[in-house]
Amino acid sequence: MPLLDVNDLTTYFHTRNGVVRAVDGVSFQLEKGETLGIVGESGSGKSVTCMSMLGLIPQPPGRIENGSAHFDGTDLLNCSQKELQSIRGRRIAMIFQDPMTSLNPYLRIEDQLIEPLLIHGLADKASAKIQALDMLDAVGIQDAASRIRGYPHEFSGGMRQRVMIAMALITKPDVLIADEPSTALDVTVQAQILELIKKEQQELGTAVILITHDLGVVSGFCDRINVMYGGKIVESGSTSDIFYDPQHPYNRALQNSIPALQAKGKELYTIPGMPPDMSKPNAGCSFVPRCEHATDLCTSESPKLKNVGQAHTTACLRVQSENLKP
Amino acid sequence: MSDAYLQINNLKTHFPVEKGILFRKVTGTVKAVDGVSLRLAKGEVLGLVGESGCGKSTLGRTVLQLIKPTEGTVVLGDRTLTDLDGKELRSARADFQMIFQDPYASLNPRMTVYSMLAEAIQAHCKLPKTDLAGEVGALMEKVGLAARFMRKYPHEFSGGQRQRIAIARALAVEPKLIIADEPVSALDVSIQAQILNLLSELTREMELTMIFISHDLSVVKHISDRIAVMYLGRIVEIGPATEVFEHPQHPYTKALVSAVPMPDPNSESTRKRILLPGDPPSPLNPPSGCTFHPRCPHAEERCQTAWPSFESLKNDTHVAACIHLADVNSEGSNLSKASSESEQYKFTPELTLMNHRGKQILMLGILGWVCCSYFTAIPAWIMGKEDLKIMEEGRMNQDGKDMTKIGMILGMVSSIVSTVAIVFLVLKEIL
Repeated sequence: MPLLDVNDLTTYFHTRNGVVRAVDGVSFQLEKGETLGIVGESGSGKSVTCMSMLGLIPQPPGRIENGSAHFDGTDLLNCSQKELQSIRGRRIAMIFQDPMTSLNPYLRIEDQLIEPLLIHGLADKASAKIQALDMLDAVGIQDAASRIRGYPHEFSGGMRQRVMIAMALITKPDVLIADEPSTALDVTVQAQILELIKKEQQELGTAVILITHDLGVVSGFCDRINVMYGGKIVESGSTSDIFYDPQHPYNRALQNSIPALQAKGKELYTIPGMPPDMSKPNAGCSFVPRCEHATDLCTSESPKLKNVGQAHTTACLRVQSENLKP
Repeated sequence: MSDAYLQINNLKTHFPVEKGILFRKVTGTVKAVDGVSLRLAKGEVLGLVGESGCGKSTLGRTVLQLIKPTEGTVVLGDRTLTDLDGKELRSARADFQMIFQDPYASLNPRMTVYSMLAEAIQAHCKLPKTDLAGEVGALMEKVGLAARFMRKYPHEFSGGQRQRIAIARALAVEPKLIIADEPVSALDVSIQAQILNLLSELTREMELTMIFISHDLSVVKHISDRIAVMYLGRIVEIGPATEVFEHPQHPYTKALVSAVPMPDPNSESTRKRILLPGDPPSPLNPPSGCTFHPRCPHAEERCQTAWPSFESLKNDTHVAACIHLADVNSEGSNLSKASSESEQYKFTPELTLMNHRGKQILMLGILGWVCCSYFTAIPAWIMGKEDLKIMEEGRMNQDGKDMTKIGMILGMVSSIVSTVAIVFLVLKEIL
């Protein structure tokens, strides 16, 4: 049985300009100790998926319309606030994108680090402080004993993200959700942070969900990848399937448009048009307006995720009917 | 190269750091750009890469005279831009334009696309109003926007389209030099490719010379002819794009290239990453000698004393500033291996010292005498005591030690004297 089983998760935002279908029927599983990447452009619903699971969606305007997220026997979407609070931060932790704004500038690092331990009643203050110090050491902050008394503004961006990681991992969670953990950082610091998350994951056996828009980051980091587009998962498979055997036209186009892999001087492949407006749903596949393989059927029938290989699924009618060779 | 179209000679841009409210005093300088020399041929695209804070944007802005340089010259064609002023500079600006990072912030939300582009066109050549619409339309088609959108406002466009408008605005005056400051960083991958294609097409068509600033090496590699790598205000390596990307020479470039995540799981799992310890140092207080030495896996003593000169490799076009390029490259493989394994988490954190409060404490102590007031004398003692303790721990600037001590003693003595005086007066009254 998977550790986390998300089924048909649907989150809509009811705004003045209509209903925005941010997440529209997303299902995935996460095994113990596994690393799952969620890739997509901005607005594809990758962050909202994870925020919905943890009850972090502002309601209203947001509303979870449908679905379930079973974590170790508890349905996160339909349990009491109290139950959710006992899981959130303790068994499922989250790292946010911007380390500059996700730490409280008024509190010492120490107080912020021990807070999860105290709130969940995992330790008394004295032993929590010792654990906080060990954790800060483990994430590679030198001279932790004196730095722990400092305030966030005394730390650089990379250091703050290390503190965020220490804070998330201090309760030894089963699942760590990292929402673009390295996007706001420089390349050299990004490499340090990713390496650190990997190291801690191996030590603690934590399952990680990595949300990012950077295909380069997931390729060296994840076991499995979900590609999202327009609030839906369009392709899901192992890392090598996604990169070496891409099926969905969006995934293929995305990889062709990355400058890193293309020969210099050659014109980059571009996906025509723009990401879809989520408040104006169309009946069929949301990629139709930008897809070069679209047919009449694509505009009327909404594709479902179907197997195209071992543990490799895609939501494209043309791929499924096998008249589309990559 | 004498046929260089753009020449940047030993350009320096320093920002003074001032402190104080009434009497502002220069307490330090941030050397954002510190001695950069570049030559660009006509029609060449130079990629400028570096981490945030390395001065790449400042260099771009200084070249365009948006910031006055502290030292050095910029020569475009046969004009020395650094000597121009006021009107001359204004008219010269038609030759060089800038594209900014954030298309949401760089377009005026209250102007239509037409008025924005028409303004730019009219600023540099007088056209009759009737021709203007045609000109604007042509410009929009050139950057891939339909001319019928010209009466729309920026908020009606998406990020990629806005960046196209910004590019059109820059091209409106038919410039020779374009400086693009992270033009694709704020865009999604699929849109990024569209804008990159557009830019490389336009530079080819219009024979534009371009400096393309970005922190993303793979983007830079794709679009530029040559790449310059900046670290703390200086260029550490410069050479042909593929050469720099595939055979980096400077230890910093090596680390930078190895840190770029590649969307290819197989090469990603076998690739050795060179992890640099720590963060880039503060440009306010740069390390001595080669500014990279605190993070460099190959640093030795002589690196701390002098900034290395450029050494050319193989041919004159690819140069790097490092004193032991030969050693680094001959034993490069085992050196970098050692560093990536053992020195991964060895940091030399730079402690930022707290400012001392000597002056305030001294003032409070003196006020204690002048006003015979406990309210100032006692705080002077308490604050002084706190500060001395922190100084002993080495976390505070030691300069104010004497002042703090004098302030404390003055405060203490004044409160003792006041107390004695009061007691004396009271006793005198009673007796």
